[in-house]
Amino acid sequence: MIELLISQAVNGFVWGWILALISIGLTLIYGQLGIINVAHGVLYTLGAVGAYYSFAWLGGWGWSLLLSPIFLAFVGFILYQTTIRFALGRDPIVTVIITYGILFILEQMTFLFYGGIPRTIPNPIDYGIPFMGSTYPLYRVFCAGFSFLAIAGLMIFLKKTRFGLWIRATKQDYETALNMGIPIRRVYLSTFCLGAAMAALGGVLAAPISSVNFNMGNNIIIDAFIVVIMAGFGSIPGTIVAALIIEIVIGVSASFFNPVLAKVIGLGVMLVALFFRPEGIFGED
Amino acid sequence: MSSQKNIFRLLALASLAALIILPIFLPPFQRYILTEILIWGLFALGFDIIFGCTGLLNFGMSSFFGMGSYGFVLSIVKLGFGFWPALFIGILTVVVFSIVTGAVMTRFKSHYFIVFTIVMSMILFFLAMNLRKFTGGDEGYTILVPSLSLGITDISLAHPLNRYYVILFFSAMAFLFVQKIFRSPLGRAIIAIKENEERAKIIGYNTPLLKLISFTLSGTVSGLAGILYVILNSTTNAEVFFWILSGKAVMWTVVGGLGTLWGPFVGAGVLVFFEDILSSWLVKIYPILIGLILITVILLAPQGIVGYFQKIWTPGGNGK
Repeated sequence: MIELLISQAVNGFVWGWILALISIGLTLIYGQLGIINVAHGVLYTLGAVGAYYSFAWLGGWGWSLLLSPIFLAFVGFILYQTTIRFALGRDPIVTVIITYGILFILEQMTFLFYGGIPRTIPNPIDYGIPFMGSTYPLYRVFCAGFSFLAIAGLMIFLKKTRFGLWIRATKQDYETALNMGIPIRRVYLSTFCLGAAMAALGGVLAAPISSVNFNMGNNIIIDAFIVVIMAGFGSIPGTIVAALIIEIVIGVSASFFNPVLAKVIGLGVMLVALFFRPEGIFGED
Repeated sequence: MSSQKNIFRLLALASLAALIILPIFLPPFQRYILTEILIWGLFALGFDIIFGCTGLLNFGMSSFFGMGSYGFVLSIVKLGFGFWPALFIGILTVVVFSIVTGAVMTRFKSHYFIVFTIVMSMILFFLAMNLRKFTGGDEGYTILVPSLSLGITDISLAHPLNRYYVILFFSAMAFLFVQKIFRSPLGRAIIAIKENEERAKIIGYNTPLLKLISFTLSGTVSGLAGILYVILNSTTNAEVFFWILSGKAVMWTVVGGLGTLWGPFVGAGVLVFFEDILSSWLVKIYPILIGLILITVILLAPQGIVGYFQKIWTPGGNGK
């Protein structure tokens, strides 16, 4: 029993890092552009679909670790130029509806191109590490590690580079940033593309664990929103902690109850957390 | 002003007359779609009350729809009730559910309210899928809707035309009731919350109570739509709790016109018509079209179809 509990907790920990990748993209886009991106789940799906095609066409899943984020950053660029920039400064509800429209369009295009049948990608790192008497897939450990590195890289980028400084400055005080000559539009555009690339990376990492389906993003987007709100908008450490808590709670309770009830318990934890700390785990950044 | 008012009164009467006469001549499939539009319009009206008129974005409207339809179905299946008692239980279920959840939810503001309502509907969806003994899960229940007894005569709901008129009657009554409320001081006070909650509070309105009233009214209207859905299709299942349905209410209302009360019916009419008539030959790109319509409408005419016509027909006024 205890082995099962621990391995479920470790599974939850791995999923938590993938969820954190996606949620950080959401929270960045909201914190920076004021846009509630309902279409974020589709960007995740597209990342996973990219992983499938680099497995099927290029012969290696690994390529997509690089190609999917680049492709999605490009998709993000097109979305920003055609629609998102017209939504800037509007009521958050308006941004929900606009991105809801984008969700429809992108999901259907994915369906038409990729088809409705779920497909699987073989485990890229087919090796198990000995763990509590049995083995644990090394690939999952790699997932957590890679997500950790990507998030750490993002945080260093935000803290140490000039562009990162611009992003933080714009968020803190729009007017002053504008007066200091920071190219606000470019900051917005690159934040959106960065968020899209993070979601893609989440999709790439998740693809070999779960099957790749044209609507797989619909399941994770709600979790990501819950994480973002539980964490308090804009806080990256808070987002990581919230994602890990949610997924570990869901994982551990799945060993007692069926997966559906486990999900309900995860939602319940989130409600309780919000009730006692409505400003988020670490407060708003 | 009076000539504009007359235009709207004439339009209302003409559409009511059309809704009464038209179905007699419509082929069965088109009549079915028209019936469906009435139900979806009523469902979206619930969303218009809470968001369009009160300013609270409730993204969990499917909860009320599901509660209504299950209250109605279960009192027929498990308790063997007739039409009127089942209708009563169905509505009572939604009212109680709305008051209890509303008392908690309306304390929260902006995005917290949105997320709490989404989570509410997700928890209900998961529970309904899971408690198969009680809800029937994703297969749900298929029932024989009992005849509607009017004392002297019984109306059988087996005939589609009878079903249509019963559904038209209930949705028209609900619509008129909601319209009456929003023209009364109570409704004006609710709209004041949307305009500026702080000011409404300072003037002396009991805003928490008003929000709860609006929440309950909205839930009840959407729940009634759930009951009518059962009358039309004789079936319900756990899928009615799924958030996609809540998303549709948002879509229909936004396209039709937020805060207009007519809008949800017009929006549902246009989009469901598109979906059912066009989708047979545009099935592949239909969702893409819907996405484009949503984005275009919200960017170019954020007041929706009804709001747009109210604006151009009413110089300098809001058309109410």
